[in-house]
Amino acid sequence: MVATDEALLAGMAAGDPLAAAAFVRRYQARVFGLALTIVGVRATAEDVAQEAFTRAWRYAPGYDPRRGAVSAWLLTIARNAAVDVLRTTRDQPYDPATLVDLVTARPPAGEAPADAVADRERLRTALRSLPAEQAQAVLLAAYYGLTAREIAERDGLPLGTVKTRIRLGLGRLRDLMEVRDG
Amino acid sequence: MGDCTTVRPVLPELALGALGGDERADALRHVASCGACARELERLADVADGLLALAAPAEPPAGFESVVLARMTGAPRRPPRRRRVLALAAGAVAVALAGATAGAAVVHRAGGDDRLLADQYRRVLATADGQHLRALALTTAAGDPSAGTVFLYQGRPSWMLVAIADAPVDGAYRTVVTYAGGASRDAGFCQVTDGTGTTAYPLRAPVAEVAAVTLTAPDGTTLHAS
Ligand SMILES: [Zn+2]
Repeated sequence: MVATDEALLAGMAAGDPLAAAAFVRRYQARVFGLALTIVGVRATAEDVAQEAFTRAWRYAPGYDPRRGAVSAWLLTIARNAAVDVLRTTRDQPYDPATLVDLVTARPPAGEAPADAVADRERLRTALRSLPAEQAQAVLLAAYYGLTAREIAERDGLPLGTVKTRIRLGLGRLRDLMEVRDG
Repeated sequence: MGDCTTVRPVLPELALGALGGDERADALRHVASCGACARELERLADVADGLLALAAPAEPPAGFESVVLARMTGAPRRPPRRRRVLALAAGAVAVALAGATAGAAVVHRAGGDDRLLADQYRRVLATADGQHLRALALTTAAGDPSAGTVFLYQGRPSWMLVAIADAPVDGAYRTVVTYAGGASRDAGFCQVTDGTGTTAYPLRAPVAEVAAVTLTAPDGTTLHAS
């Protein structure tokens, strides 16, 4: 029998090292993969992934099981840890177009549940259908944690233009993802 | 503090975790009291969560698991306490309360943690659908309403979350809750470092009966919400 994510997290919240070990084994490739996508360097990504799991251990009692999947909670923690590193090094390893290519590339078939794979594939298709500047603005915010103001300064664009790109881009993704859900 | 017309346009940035501190505090304060914006934020945040899941998995270097486990289980954490154990049994929002308390213990040490706390508020707000939450601005004696926010959640248990974003002085602020009948209750201390701090407290009376929350620093500086 396989423990649910929620059970593993409850075990971590209670301080159970065996639950922590199972949790790390289950998620290390996802967390390390996200960290690598954001920071671009394996050694740095390893530090980020360690920091992410350490924060997850600390915050496990704060996880709200009624809100979203454990994986989304953990990936948000990993993303924040990676963004902290980028803010220190003032580095962005990939240009926006490359970031979009990385995120929308079809991954090799894995052992993930089929419905999760299908959702991800729909979101990739939706991202590819956006105007390039909207997809790039959304991903710079999501992955690098850049504010609209930072993107505007970086690209020499008016702040309003960048805010509009993020708003239209994320709104369009939501509409496309909700067509079949709703 | 913002209303729907000013907050709606920044909800995508809030959902993506890419809104600066001031705007984020204003937007969260509005969302806490507006069910329509809370629902919109939840829908956008679901997409934002999905975007992070698109990163290709990659196997970490050999030995990663043992290094990370040593680091995790050696990391400082609040010792298990009765309230936390109860919270685990008592349901989602109570769990969020314990988490906010644990977060407060580390928020001063790591810069990224304030974003995580903001994310937790967002998730709690979405769970509560904005219907059982009150959010009160914390005002300085000089009348500046941007010192922080007091969130009040009506549930089992009901709880209060004090989030100080910009206090005039640092230190351990004594926190006192005053009820409509005039009774007041000590709610412990909120440690403020570099102007920021967070504390959570279970309420024994309905949220509607909370008339005011006052925080007092060791030097007498006060923050007030009502
Ligand atoms: Zn609103």
